Amino acid sequence: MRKGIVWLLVMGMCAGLLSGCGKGDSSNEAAANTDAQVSENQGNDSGAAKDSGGYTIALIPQQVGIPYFETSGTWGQKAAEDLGCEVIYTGPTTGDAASQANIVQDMITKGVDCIAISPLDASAIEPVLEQAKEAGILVVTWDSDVNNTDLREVYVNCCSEQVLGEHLMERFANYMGGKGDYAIITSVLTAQNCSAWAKYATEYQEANYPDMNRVAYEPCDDDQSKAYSITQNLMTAYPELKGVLGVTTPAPPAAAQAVGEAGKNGEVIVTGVVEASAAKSYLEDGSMQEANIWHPGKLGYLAVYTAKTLLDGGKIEDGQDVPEVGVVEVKDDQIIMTELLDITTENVDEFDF
Amino acid sequence: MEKIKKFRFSLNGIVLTAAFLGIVLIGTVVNENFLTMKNILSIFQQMSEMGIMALGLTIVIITGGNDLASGTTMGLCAVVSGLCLTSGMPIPLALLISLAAAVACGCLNASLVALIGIPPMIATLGTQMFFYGAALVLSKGNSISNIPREFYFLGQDKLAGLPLQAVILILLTIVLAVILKKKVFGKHLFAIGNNIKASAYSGIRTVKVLFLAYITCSVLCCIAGNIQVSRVATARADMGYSFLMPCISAVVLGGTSIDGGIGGVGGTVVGVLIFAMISNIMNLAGISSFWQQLATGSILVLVVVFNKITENSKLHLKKMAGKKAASE
Amino acid sequence: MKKLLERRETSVFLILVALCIGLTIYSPTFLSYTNIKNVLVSNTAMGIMAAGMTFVLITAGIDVSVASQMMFSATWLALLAETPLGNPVTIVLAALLIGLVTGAVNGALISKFDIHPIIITLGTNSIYRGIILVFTNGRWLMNLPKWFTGFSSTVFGIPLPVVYALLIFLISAYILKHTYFGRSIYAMGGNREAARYAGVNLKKTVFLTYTYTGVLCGAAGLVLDSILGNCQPSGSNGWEMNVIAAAVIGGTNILGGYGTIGGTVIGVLMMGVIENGLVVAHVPTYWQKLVYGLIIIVTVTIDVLRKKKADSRKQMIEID
Repeated sequence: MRKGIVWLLVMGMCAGLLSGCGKGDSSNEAAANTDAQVSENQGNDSGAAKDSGGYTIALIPQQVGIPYFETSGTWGQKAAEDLGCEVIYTGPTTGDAASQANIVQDMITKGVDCIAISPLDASAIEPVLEQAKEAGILVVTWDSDVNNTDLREVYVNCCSEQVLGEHLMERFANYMGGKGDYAIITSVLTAQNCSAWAKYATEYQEANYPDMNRVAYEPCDDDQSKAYSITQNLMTAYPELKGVLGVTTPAPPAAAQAVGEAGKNGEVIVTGVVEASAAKSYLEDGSMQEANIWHPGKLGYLAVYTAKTLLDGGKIEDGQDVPEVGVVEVKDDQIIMTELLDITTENVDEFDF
Repeated sequence: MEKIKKFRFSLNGIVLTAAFLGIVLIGTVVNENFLTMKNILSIFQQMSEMGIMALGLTIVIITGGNDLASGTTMGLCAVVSGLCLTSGMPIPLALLISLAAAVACGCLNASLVALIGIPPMIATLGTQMFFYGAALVLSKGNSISNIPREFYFLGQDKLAGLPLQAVILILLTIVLAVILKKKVFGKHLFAIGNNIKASAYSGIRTVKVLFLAYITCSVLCCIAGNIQVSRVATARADMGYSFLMPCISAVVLGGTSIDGGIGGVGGTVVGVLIFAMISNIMNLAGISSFWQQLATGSILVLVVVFNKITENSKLHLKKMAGKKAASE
Repeated sequence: MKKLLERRETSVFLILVALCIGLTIYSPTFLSYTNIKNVLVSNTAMGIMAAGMTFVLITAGIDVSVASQMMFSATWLALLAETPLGNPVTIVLAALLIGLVTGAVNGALISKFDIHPIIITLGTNSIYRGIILVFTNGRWLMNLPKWFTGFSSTVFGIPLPVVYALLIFLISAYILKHTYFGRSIYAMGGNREAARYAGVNLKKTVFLTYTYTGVLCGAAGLVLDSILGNCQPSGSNGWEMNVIAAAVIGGTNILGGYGTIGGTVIGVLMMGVIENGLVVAHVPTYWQKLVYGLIIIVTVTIDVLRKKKADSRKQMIEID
């Protein structure tokens, strides 16, 4: 009986699909779909003229539930209010590249006007972005880019992986005095951007600070308690350890906590990528020396602002003063925000993220 | 007794169908794009990988076992075939090697469970980490891109208007349903799930059947992994890692008993479909992914509890009727 | 003495000792006070949950929602600490109360409807985690007040979290061994039908088991918060599997009927030492997960084979 119902359902769906396909085949399904999409977009455009820009922009982070991206999301919503468009902020709850692709696909179905995405994996997202392009949806990348740059209109960049990696190492080495053993804590071993930062940081160290020595490269699975115990273990395993560089936001505060508890403030240097709010107390008690980051909120704002400008048929100019964000630099198809922020005890209170 | 069992089957079917229809209804109301052909096809495309893996889990769970390593088996096979493909091997050979890796995974699971006698949950918990570690070592944590375009057929092409992976899912469902219902192997799976000792005494070669069950599961994970590699044109060690819990939930939602001995693949597919639709609807409605977690958990508990309540009340009614008949 | 050798915990304990000796030879810092303290402290939350899991596993049940329950408690506690109501007394009460509620919900659903615990706890696992994520929007709760982190300070060289864990282990062991509730748990796990005929109230036992586990998870949330000084609602994902593995490695039978708190403690230490040892022994990063999995497989295999041998010997004696 149950089997019967299940099969009935499956059969029903198959029949529905086949009949749908039949129709599609007779009138060239793909073309019809694209046409429908385009005409829908045009409909939106004409509607936009009436109620001054009713665009829907999907702002897709690599993962929701991480303070960094939540700040981007909040500022993205703020941009939506300022500019009079709708922003849907949604992304995968885990660092799973395939589920981010599913979300993009659903956004295409929903018929958004623009997909602004920070790809979890530079190549895994490409097939669905191709679909988005075919459907006539504007694609903008922000925070990190795709391999095939033809798939997106522009890349709203904070700074390249190489620039950040080298900057991280430069600041870190400055506190280390250019010598000693150090370790890098990354998020998960499969996270592409963190791996790239760590790679460039290490290469920069090898080229410029020959007296420094990377003794360990450990993943903390983006889990603070794991980053905490890893730092403790590292200090045990390498008694000569002089510094910990965290290239993922949960790592530096947890490392600082462990260093502080071991009474090694200043003896073991802690710097890395982390938000001002999370770094504040550790900067103040001396267990963390510096946080290097850009403003994730402004990045989200800029992504939405760029999307809106492009949808309006406009363009972001080099040296343009974007409200709330500041002057931006435009290089080819990249919109580069501002310089990196070096957050220390002196200026930590100036930041609101 | 036989009657009651049959009764339960149909009841689960009804509850499941009601939940399914309810969700379709909600979807249609929430977003006008939900019931379009395009969206239905993309739901099919998205659910296929999880669906195929869940089919494998169903087989193992019917034997009273469990395969917590299925997610990481998928990741390992994905990495293996990714490495083979990017090294310039012909596609059939690459698929064959990744299939061989899957068979090896299945054999390892089955030896621990069937030969040594470690409880399946624990044996596969160990192999889960082992396979994930192996995938990490092989890929060095990198995502493997530059998959040759010829391989895209598996996850991106269409057959008669249906995404190829959906066709594979449907075919596999039919084949497995026939095996479970009509073939001796299927009967043995159920028998082992009901009572492994009695099955052994009645002449079933339990070790062989269990080996086949775990290998089938791993091979299905391998198929799912290759489909995902083709769909996203990338291979990563963490592929499938987050599939495990939703898959087990879907199997259970589909009416397969977690203790083994009862179940089927049809329900599993509907269970996966329900989860896929929930996340699709929420994405279409622009609702935060956090709510999806809450919703899937609630639906699982609600359906199972509702199932039980109706079953209990029907049983109660039957008992009452029986008493009445007896007194008369 | 012979009895001690025959116990399931013994083989795991010997493997643990061998592992520790090997690590000490490889890197003498392993045996330093700081390292031992670190291993103990960072596994207290895990250990407290594992004590609860032992109860559940002995009844032939399972609870895959423990990590979610712990974070559920940890998140609400961190939020409470920021309000004027937050003080050491209310926090402790709240921790136990929150755990009581989450555990009781599990227990009620499982016992009332007689549904397999893995299904219910799979569902509540998503529900508890979903609630805190929706409520906090994934925001981390930073900078917990000083009095809160004071719960995990070190007194006379002994870290307080370890003291809490020890207390909980002692209480749990006492309950299992010396109370009617404890004996019903064993009876139920050994043979459900027999236990029922012997007059054990199965529903009540199940309900109490999951509630007690919930309370321990609540307490674990408090300990975790105080150690870290902040709270990450999306954190400790997947810990439930480590907790189950720890209990089973410690000799608890996942099919019910057997298990001790002492064994579970050994299991937790085993997991903690492996995690610590992988770093201390400089195992290359990409190989760590593989080695970790391998050690678990080998440990469980040895344990199962030993048990099989013991069983067959017992049968021989019976025949004699």
